[in-house]
Amino acid sequence: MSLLLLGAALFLILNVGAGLLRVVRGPTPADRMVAAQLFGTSGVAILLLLAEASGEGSLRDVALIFALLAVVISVSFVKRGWIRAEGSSDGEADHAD
Amino acid sequence: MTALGLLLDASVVLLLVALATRLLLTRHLFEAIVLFVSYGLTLSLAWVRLGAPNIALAEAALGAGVTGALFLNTYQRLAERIGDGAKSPLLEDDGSQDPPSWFKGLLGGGVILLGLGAGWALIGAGRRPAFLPHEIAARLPETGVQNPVTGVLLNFRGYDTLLEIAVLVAAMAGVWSLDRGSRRFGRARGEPDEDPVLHALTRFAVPVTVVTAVYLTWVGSTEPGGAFQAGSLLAGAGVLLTVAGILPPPTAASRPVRAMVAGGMAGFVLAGIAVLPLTGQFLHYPEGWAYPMILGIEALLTVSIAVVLVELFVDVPAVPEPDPALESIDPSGDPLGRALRGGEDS
Repeated sequence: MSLLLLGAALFLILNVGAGLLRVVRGPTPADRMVAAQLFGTSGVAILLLLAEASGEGSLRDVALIFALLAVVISVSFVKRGWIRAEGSSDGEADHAD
Repeated sequence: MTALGLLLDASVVLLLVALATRLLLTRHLFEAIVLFVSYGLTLSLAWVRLGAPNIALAEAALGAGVTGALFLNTYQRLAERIGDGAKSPLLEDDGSQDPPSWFKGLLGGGVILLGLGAGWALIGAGRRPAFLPHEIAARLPETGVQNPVTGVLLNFRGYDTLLEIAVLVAAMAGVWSLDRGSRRFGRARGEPDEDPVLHALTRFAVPVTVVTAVYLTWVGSTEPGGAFQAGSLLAGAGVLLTVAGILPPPTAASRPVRAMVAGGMAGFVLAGIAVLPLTGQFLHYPEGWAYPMILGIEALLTVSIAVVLVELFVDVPAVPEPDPALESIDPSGDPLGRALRGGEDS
């Protein structure tokens, strides 16, 4: 059983490695960011598999943190990091340049 | 089974090395930020494999999550200042300011030699018998908590944690002193809420995040968890609320905000002083009181850390206008403002 779990975790790690290619190639910030989100979601899955395999319940808490902070990262990217790619229009008002 | 475990560990290590190499070599700032977040997540997996879930939690929450969001925020600030589509070495280095290659080779070779030497020394030094884990395990019942990491951080070495929160409060004071009153975050006054997706997401994610933060503070006394991890989660909830425009950005002008920033450190110091007449030692909790005091301090710390982190995210100092008063006092003053204004012209 834990052979299967570790095997699945290994497969997911290799997947994350493939995602690294997308981070490096881009070309747009969104491509890179989605690849980083893949790191997050795969990380959650890997942690849950490891928690099951090792019987260490606190790994599920780590997975919970991965999942919750991935939301914060994506939102701060969409609201703060994506504007440049789309043409800056948002929130320029209070710069009295 | 063990072979598979080894293979898993080897993949994590390879991934870490690949991420770190690319992170150091890339000339593209945004890519570097994404790689930094990915590196943090992978490092967290490595800590898990090393059997250190406490550090894995901290790395995921602070290293990858909060720092990643702060970097994204900073990137956006820079990109906005530099302007659309404009090239800037701040965002993408064209290599024109590189040192000569012989110098880079010398530096790189030296660092690699240093690394190899350190590795060789570590292997050569042999294994020292670890005595601290036994000492801590033997005296853990006196700490009032069952998680050895919390026991060390808040009882045996409580002053270390006290100084850590002092660093955060000092950082906050620094950011506030740069603040020139302009704040541009979330929804402007009167602007309609035109982002139903973000609103719905916030309504779903914030309660879950807050509950998890409370849980992590609570569980810190028996299992991996604690104030810094919980505080960064709570900060995540605060950032979501501010970005969605539900919560006004906290400011230094608000007394509750200042009270919450100072609360963790103040509570810690007061608790340390309050036990003085009973035990005669700063932060030496009297018997039977260790658990409630630690939990109370952790709760205060969680709130303080969360507010400081939200402030660091939200309260980006505005790029200052030229200030004649400042220039007349010190002509070389305000180098940051000048650099940012200069970046605009190019």
